[in-house]
Amino acid sequence: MANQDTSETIFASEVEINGTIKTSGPVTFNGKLDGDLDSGGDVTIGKSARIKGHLNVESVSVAGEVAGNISAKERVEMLASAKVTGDVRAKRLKVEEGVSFVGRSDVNPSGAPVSSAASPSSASSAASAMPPIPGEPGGAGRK
Amino acid sequence: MASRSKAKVVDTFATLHATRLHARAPRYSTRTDTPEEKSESKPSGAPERKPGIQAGRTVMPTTYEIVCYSCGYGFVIRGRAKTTQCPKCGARLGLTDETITGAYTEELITAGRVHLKPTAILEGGKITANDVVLEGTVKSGFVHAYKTLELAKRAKIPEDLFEARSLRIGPGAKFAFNKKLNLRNLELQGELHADVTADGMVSIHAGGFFKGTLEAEHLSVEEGGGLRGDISVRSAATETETVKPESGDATPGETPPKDKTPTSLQDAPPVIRPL
Repeated sequence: MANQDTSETIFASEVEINGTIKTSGPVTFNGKLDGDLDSGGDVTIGKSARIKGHLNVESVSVAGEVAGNISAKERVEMLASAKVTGDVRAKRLKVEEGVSFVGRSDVNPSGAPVSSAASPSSASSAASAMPPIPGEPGGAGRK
Repeated sequence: MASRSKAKVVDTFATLHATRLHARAPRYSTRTDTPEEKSESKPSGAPERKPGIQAGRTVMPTTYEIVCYSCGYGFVIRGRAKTTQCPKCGARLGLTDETITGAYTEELITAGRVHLKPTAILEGGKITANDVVLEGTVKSGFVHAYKTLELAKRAKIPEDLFEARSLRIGPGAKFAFNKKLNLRNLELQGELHADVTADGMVSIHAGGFFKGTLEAEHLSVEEGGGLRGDISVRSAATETETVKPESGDATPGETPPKDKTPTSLQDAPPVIRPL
């Protein structure tokens, strides 16, 4: 599976794994995984891949099925055939039309504190639907 | 007597043939588009009058999608007109585009487009149109867009004073609504905090940001777009039995059974969809 000259690891579609995959390099996964995948590099989840577990990666491109949380340090890309059931956390997100995605998303590319939504209010304050400017005192910080 | 040249006959076949040739050939036009200033305050994708498609010496009239403000029926007309008649209910519809620049207190009904400039202030007036571009302030009254409501950067409107089939948030704009929005399409180039149910397409462009609960049929996020909250997007064509996670402290979103439709769509009021 692994090519010792390069760091990329490729799993064919016939592969079925029960357990955790840990690697520091890029991974292309096309099989079935019942467990987590931890990678310090870029991960490509192929169209025929079925994963039941969490992904902790640098960046990931998903074209198959993932039932679990996806946590990427950089980028998450969901291609049109992707089916993701779980939470997604990354710096950047790209979703193509046709994706099926159910879960929670936490992606804020700007990195600025997200302004809080207007709270349920009386009629007088409902006249302004503008949220506070990010960064102002009282504005909700991102974390 | 001077010889008469044989008159050329332009019939339906010639028109269709010219159209097909035009579709294959590189497009050309004798009209020149007026360049518009690109700035954040300018509304972006608002529908505009498009020139007709020119194929040889034949100009195919531009088609316009109209939603009747009387019955909500959507239909298509060809060519420019000032008025038309709804083929369903027979109501006479005005098709003029209007621009409002100052204080406005009257009622305006049109099946065209209404553009409220940054200096426009709606005080007690009611605007009913197919497309509304809001750059000004709505203090009182009501804005009803049967197709698309675009909110620009400087627009101000309370959440209970508008109703729209589709919503577009312009670049640099930031809006937060407490009420749940039932839309067909949502297009974000700015920031929106709301709970949205869309039976069409939700598009988040680069620079756009959505925070809240989102239920949609289709979702598209450009790189650079932000998304935060509970998301439920099930493309109908790809809806199959979902795989449930078994391990870890994962708390994925809800995965309703295969034969259950989202309650939010079931509970949504019946909507007359434009074409």
